[in-house]
Amino acid sequence: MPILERMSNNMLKLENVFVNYANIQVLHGINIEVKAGEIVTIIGANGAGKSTTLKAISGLIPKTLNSSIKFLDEDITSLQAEKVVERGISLSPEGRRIFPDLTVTENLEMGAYLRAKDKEGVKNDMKEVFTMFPRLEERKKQSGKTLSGGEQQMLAIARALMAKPKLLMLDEPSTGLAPLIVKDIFEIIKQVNKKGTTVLLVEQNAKIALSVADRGYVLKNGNIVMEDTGKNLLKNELIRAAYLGESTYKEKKA
Amino acid sequence: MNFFLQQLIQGISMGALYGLIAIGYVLIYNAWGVLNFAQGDMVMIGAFAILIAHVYMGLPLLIAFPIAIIMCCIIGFLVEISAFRPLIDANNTRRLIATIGVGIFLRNLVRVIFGADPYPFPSIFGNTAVNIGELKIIPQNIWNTVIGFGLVILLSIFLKQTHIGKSMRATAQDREAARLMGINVKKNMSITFIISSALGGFAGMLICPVFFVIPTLGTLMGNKGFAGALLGGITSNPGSMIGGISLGILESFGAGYFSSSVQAGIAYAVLFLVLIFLPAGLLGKKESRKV
Repeated sequence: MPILERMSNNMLKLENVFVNYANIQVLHGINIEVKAGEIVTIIGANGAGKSTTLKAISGLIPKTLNSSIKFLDEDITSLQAEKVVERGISLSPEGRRIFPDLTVTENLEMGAYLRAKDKEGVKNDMKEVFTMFPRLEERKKQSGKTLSGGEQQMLAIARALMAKPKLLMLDEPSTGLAPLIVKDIFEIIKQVNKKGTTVLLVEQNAKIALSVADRGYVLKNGNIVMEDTGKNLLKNELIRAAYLGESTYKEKKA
Repeated sequence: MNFFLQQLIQGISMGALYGLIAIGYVLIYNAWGVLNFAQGDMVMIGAFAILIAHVYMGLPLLIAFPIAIIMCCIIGFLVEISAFRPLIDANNTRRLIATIGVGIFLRNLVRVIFGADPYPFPSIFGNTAVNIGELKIIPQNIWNTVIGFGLVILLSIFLKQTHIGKSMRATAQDREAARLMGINVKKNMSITFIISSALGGFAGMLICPVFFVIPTLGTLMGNKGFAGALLGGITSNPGSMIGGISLGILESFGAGYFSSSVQAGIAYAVLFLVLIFLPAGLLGKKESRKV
């Protein structure tokens, strides 16, 4: 794979990662690499283990022995979630999970929780986030629960960005949103990436995810079954059949 | 009219203390998802702490108060790390039972050390009544109200304005998301328990000139605080203060206009009526919630 050789600066490396829920194994030793500056996506059906992968990286769930997760060449396998953020990995979790009774501003402040001493920097970043999401600025004094679904998703991403992460992980940012808003959000993800943040994206909406991603992994029943560039995966017949809806594709061709 | 005002003042002053206890229930319910049935016993711990510091050690009140508060904080912290922290991910029933167990343990520990006899406690603020018009107000009533409201205002400033306060609210709303922000959830839970222990303990210190100091003081006061918290809507800090004060006023009128034997039952009547007719309380969230 030439693309792997071209970008050799490794940011995140998962090797042989196993995760168990009670007695059920959910991830069966997966290997994933993310290089600095990339957008990498993990696609797969419901229950394939996509969210589990992100939770495992972010330290929310324990990994079994022999699993190895390295971030910037340092081992973070057994770090707890609150320590993983400190290293520079932010997760915008599945279901948004904004703080419903905190205002938009307070939610963003919580995103920058670990940067409390850098008041000037936090202020500037909040301005920057507000230019990226003008809707949030209009509603900055409203509590999180009064926002619409799209605004909540924007807030979740904005909140993750406030930690100034080196790696931004997004769990299903398109869920439950109108197509136009999904487009906006992916436009912003591209913008964020252009400004230098590496992105690891988990999506059920494979089409839009692959169209922005440099590389993609296909996760099936807790195994990585395919990995390639975003473009190649979009063209791949198997992927089209399984995740993009082959019949629609054939109809269009005809 | 004078009698009415007199009873009202008496009710508000007692209610302010109920409010302090109630707010401890609310803080922990929000952060932890279950009621803390040991909250009343922290009131009793507060009363014994001031008894030790003031009567036994003979310290003047200005020194005895801070020492007693520190004792409450320490005991609250010890209870949290030994009994509650190990159960942070356990189901609600187990945690609820743990709080009941802690209550029984504290009550009986104090009984073993101090015996079951009631201890009298001298008046804190003096007994000379202040005359305003024809009203006679004893200093205790004024101070209870001032301190009660003062602490609640301080608490809400702390929760709304400070970095740590905001992160405590975030932790209460979504513990997992809070961890993703880098918030030290364990520390915040400890602080929550310490603050509610201190508030409950404070109520206990202010109450001991009125009641005798006995190991079962917590059961009595805990029930009143619980009724106040429920009346205010178990999730709302200002609500619990309003609930506590409403309960205090109701009790005071009940005792004044009917008979003092009615007084003891009012908290329970409020509990029943709120549960049946106003399950969300005065200021609580309207949606259904886990118990």
